[in-house]
Amino acid sequence: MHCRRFLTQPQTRRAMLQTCASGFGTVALSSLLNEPAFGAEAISASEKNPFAARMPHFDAKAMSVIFLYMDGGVSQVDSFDPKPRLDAENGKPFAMKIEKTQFNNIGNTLASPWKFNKYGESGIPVSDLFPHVAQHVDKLAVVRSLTSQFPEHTNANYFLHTGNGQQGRPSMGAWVGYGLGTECQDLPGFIVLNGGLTPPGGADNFNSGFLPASFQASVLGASDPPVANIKRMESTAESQQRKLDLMRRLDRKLLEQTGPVDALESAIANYELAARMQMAVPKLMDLSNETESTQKAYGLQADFANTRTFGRICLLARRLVERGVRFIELTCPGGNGDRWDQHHGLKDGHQKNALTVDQPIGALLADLAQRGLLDSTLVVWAGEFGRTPFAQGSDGRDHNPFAFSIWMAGGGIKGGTIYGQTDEYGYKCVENRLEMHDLHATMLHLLGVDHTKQTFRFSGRDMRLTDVFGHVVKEILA
Amino acid sequence: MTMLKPRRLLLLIGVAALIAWPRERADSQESPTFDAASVEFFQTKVKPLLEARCFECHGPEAKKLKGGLSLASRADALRGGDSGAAIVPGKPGESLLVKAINYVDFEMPPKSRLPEGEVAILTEWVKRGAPWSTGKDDPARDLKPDTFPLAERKAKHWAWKPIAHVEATAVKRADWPADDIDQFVLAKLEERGLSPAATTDRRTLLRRVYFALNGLPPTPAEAAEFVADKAPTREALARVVDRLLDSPHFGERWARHWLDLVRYAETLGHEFDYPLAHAHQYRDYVIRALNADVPYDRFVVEHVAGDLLREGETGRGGEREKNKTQQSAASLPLSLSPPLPLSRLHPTDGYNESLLATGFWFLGEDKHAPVDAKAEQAARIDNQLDVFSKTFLGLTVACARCHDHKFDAIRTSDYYALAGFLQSSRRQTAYLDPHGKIDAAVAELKRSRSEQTSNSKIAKTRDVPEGTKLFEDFTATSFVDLQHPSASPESRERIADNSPLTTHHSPLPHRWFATGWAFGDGPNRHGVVHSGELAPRLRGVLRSPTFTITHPQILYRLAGQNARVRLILDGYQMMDFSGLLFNGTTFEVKTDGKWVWHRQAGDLQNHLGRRAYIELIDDGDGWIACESIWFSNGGREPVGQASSLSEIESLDRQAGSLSHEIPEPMRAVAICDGNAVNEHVFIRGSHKNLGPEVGRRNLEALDGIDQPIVDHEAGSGRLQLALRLIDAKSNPFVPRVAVNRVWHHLFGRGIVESVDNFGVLGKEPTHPELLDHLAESFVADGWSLKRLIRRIVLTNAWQQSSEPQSPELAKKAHDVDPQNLWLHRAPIHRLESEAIRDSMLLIAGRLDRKSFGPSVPVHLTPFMQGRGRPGNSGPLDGDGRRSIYTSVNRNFLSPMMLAFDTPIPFTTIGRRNVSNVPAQALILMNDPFVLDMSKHWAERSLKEQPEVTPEQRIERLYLDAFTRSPTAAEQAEALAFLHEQAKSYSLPADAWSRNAQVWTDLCHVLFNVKEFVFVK
Repeated sequence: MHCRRFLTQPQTRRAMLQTCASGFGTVALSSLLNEPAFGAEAISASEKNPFAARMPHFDAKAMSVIFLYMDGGVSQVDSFDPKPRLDAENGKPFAMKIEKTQFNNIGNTLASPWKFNKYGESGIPVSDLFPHVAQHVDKLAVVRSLTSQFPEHTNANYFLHTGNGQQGRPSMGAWVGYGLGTECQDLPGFIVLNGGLTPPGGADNFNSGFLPASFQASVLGASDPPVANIKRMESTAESQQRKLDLMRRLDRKLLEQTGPVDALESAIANYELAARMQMAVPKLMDLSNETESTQKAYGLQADFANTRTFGRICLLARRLVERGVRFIELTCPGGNGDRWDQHHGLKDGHQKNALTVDQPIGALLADLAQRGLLDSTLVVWAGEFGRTPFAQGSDGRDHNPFAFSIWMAGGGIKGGTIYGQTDEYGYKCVENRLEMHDLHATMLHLLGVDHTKQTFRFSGRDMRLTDVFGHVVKEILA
Repeated sequence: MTMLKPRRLLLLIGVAALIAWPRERADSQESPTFDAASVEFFQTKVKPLLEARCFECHGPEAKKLKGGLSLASRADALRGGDSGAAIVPGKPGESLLVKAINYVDFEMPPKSRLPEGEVAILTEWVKRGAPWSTGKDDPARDLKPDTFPLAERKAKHWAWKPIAHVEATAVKRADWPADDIDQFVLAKLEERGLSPAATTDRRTLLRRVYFALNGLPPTPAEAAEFVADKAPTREALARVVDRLLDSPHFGERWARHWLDLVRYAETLGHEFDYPLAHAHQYRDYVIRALNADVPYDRFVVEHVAGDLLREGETGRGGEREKNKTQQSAASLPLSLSPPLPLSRLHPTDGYNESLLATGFWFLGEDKHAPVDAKAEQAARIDNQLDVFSKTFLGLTVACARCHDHKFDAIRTSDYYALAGFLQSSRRQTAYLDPHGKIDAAVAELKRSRSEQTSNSKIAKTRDVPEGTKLFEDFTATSFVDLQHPSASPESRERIADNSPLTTHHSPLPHRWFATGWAFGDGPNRHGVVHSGELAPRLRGVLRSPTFTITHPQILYRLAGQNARVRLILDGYQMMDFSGLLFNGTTFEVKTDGKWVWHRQAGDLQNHLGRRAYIELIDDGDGWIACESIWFSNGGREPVGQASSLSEIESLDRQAGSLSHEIPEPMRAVAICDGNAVNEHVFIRGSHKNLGPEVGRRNLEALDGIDQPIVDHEAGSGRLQLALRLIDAKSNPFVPRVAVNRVWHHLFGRGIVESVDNFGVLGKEPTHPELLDHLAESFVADGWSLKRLIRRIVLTNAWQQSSEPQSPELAKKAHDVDPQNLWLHRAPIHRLESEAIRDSMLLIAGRLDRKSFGPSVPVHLTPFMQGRGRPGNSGPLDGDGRRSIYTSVNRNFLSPMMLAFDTPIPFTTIGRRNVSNVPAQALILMNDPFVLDMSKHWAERSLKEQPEVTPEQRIERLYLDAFTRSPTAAEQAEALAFLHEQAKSYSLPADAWSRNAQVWTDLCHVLFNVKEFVFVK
């Protein structure tokens, strides 16, 4: 079921239904399973089949996005932005003017507990927190100058996910689905693999906002079943099948009576997708056909339980990419302190969080590359903000929206790049400061979407993911 | 100003001179001459820098001048942009440009800081007086002041035009129209060579009207009765319509439409989804108001200013009336009847209904521990104005927060004029008095108290000097005068570190505001406010005027027990949930009968310069007494004399016997007035960059710039605003928007499709004449929503079939009117999530028709996770209550409601999405609730009709679900299915027909058949 790259002659939904009109109810589900993609006309008819693949504005470098969401905010000066000056002034009063912080419990300058080493041909420094990811630095563009407008989690999460700090806007995955549809016809185009933590702000980080609900994320949990209502309640598959067959026959009679009514036709077609999802999800979650070495590489046999959890969803992410799912977001497992949000106990908390994600992410990058998928998959690693270079209390770091580090890899990204620069303490940007809108514009660009042209009329405006802002960061493009 | 210290005055003059100097020069077009070296410095060092670093956004060729700032000429730079002059020659420290390149206040260039060498050059340049070479090659950009074409935009766009009186045009098929509405519709159809569909059959019609008016399907018995009615359809339908309009379910159905507009929720969202207590009182208010057919103009006034209406009808409430803002509305044009402003009382419980409506202002998100409290308040007000203007006016006023509206006749100043109303108002937990029991008890207490005091010795003895009456009539004049009229020099010395909260130097408004009963009529004869004097049992809150925090501490001279004080900073009230960043802003009062000084410090030092007000809160069986409140820099407390409490305590004991009979008041979230506070324009939407102050007023395009309505200082002026809104002569929006919303809900599409936006980017009306006709007759008919709805559903246009009369007409219609804009047939539309769920409950026999009250907690699935998750899940079936009674937890919305497009409550959503997601199918296929309802439905059928044949039972199920009988083919399909299911369960051939599982399976299928969720 590798939907992508095997596009055959497009068939419109209307044409499909007309073909089926003589015997709609008797058409087996499988006849729809082979259907590769709906037609280009769907560009202007997204309401009818919202999932139809749509043409990008220009050549896309990436077909899919894997967004590794580092909930709580990773410390830039402990990960990808080394600052020797912090070592030199460790324990001394912080030398720069300090802005208000979330907890306003300002301590002294705090050196990183981790050493940095240079890796790869590019020599990009990475801290000891990420030995596995470090092996892939030549695939990464490390951005050290991302900023947020909000020092509070919820607003910053909404801002990162939706380009706006308030509740109710569409998530970037929803925008991507709205713009491009999906190439997978048995799974939604936007899937969140929930490692255990729902970020502050809740489900609205993944919602479709004012876009049609079709584009909201389906959240797959670590539970079984992974998503609500995916499991049939009937004792046998045949029993459910008979129910659906009867439903189709009765629906057909209604359609015969009313003639072609879009809303009705769409609702009928919707059941086909639901039924396919019901089949596809268990297959997706079944990792038994992955080799021992693959499973091991992703950390499925690691000692640390959270590594196993995150390894599992990283592996699932690759499987979703293979299936043509457009936008995949991963959230962090719980129990590592409070996410990456180390207001105290920086060393212990960051260490556990890194232990959770490092090996699986390293394996994911290697696996994608080895399968030839990395070139068409954009991998983004980011939290909602960074952390202060001075301590909160004695051994924590507070929220820092003024500068933080993220990285991108894969589809269309120039590996081995460092972009942006912070001051000597890693507190604020001094060069190439980026805003969240720039990140979004760049992500859309790599997917072949002009962020200024992808709009949706709402509330008297043509709304965009990037509002009226955003520049594509050409310097990190391959 | 007379009291300003000389030194400060001089400073002010100095600054003024500095600002004035370059402006004069700029205006007079005279550039100072500079020596050759300076000019060369500019030419070789500065100009290249400006060109390289600034001109992309601020140069002569800049595509769009950012921040309104041009640096193309010296005059431009001196004139500056939205934030003022960019350079002050000779004063780098005062020049915005120099600040910006040092990343102070502004950060320019935005992407990267300039190298230190370049910063030094520009700083040096400003220091030298900003020399500039004059040449032809650097012309100033032509920056026109105020070119906003308000009048032109207003004149051009249809929606600003007054409601016109229009006669319906003549039509060919003169026998078709049953109402003027039909004539308007038919005229449009005939224009396009279309004709309306036939009237639909009675069963379809009945199902349609039941869902439209009550959100529930008719029972088979109700359908049978309607079908059997010998009267003509219109007459028979009218009877049904009247019954449905009288049903309590009408309000439940239409209140849900309304709740979409006001982003109704019962929690505050953000990180922990804290509860919004008493929100359901607002929901119940809307249901009652719609059921009572409260005239819509009054409904609007109650929403905007229901707290400011005088208590009406019974003459009770005199106790509180005194403390309310008295508005003189006599001179205002009133279309309301009876003479406003009187509040409405609850029909049976007798409390003030109108007050509840104002809760809508506060149904939005709220955020704890904002690092920038002012920014957070700005976000809240943005949301409030967004909801306010879309809901009532169909205008997107919030678009003008950062700049003049891009398309509509709305200026930024309009936005801030409206924001002032909210700056002058506060959120309160209002007290309501069902059956007037508290009022009665207070009257009784006062009577007995006045008897006691007239007998007591103390009462007549002291005649306290005028100046000590700190809170008389809640009118504090000045604490200085009040407090120490005869303080000795020594004591003055000791309090030198403190300064009183109110002084002549910053004349603070005079008014304190009381709600509830506890604080009586004002301060006692010692100049002390005391909430326990009448009875500890009474509740009340006393609020100060708004003032500015100028010192890091506040001192309170107070006494009390089981009471509380809150300092509300920039409207921030979330300290009830989290003290973070607002430590010390609220504190308990527990002084064990003694007068104490309470020093409020904590995080206050971080809030200097903020607007604030104080609340003295007696919300339990306690009391609080307060003598004075002072600002402090941290020095010692002022020497103060404390009144004796013993006198009060003795009175308490005497009143004790009465007070325990006083009931607990009802509570609701509501708005209340503060003193008048105008807002400044936030330049580019930034609260850190203030422009001119704007007086509170209605939109300029509606009422002009010089509006007299809110120039008084007494209160917010919201009532005057509300009365201006409903003046249909000057404001066509309110009635047009209202009738259009009704039309939208009945036809599935508004005459203006963009129901929340009548602006330029909204849709044009398809039937503008009809829209005006409806608006005009709506106003003439006393703004009755029920009569409007009744009139529309009794038209032939509404009663059309959803199918065209013939294939030829269908073809033609498909070509000419594919979207059915001209209403050549009835629309087919999917039911809303609430109607789907409620129908299932009804059909399954599980609907609990109880109205009102606290919400049933939302059912939590394992997939609903995150911070603020409620401790307990609600029942799977929501206790069988209608969906409107399930709690709306912002961060934990019901998945079924969401899947079927109940909007996320963040702003006004007058038109829901009708989406099509697999989650809908998966819910109907696999959700335990749907399975559960299928089972109940089957069991109910078997129980109610134990002896019928399978065919008869199928027929009955069809009638339940679809209001029609099955066709023979459908019968056969269903029977075959039942047989197969029975076989798969290995049921004997003679036993299956009464087997609940088999019938549950069929019921489940019928819930999944599209006809169940669609209305024709």
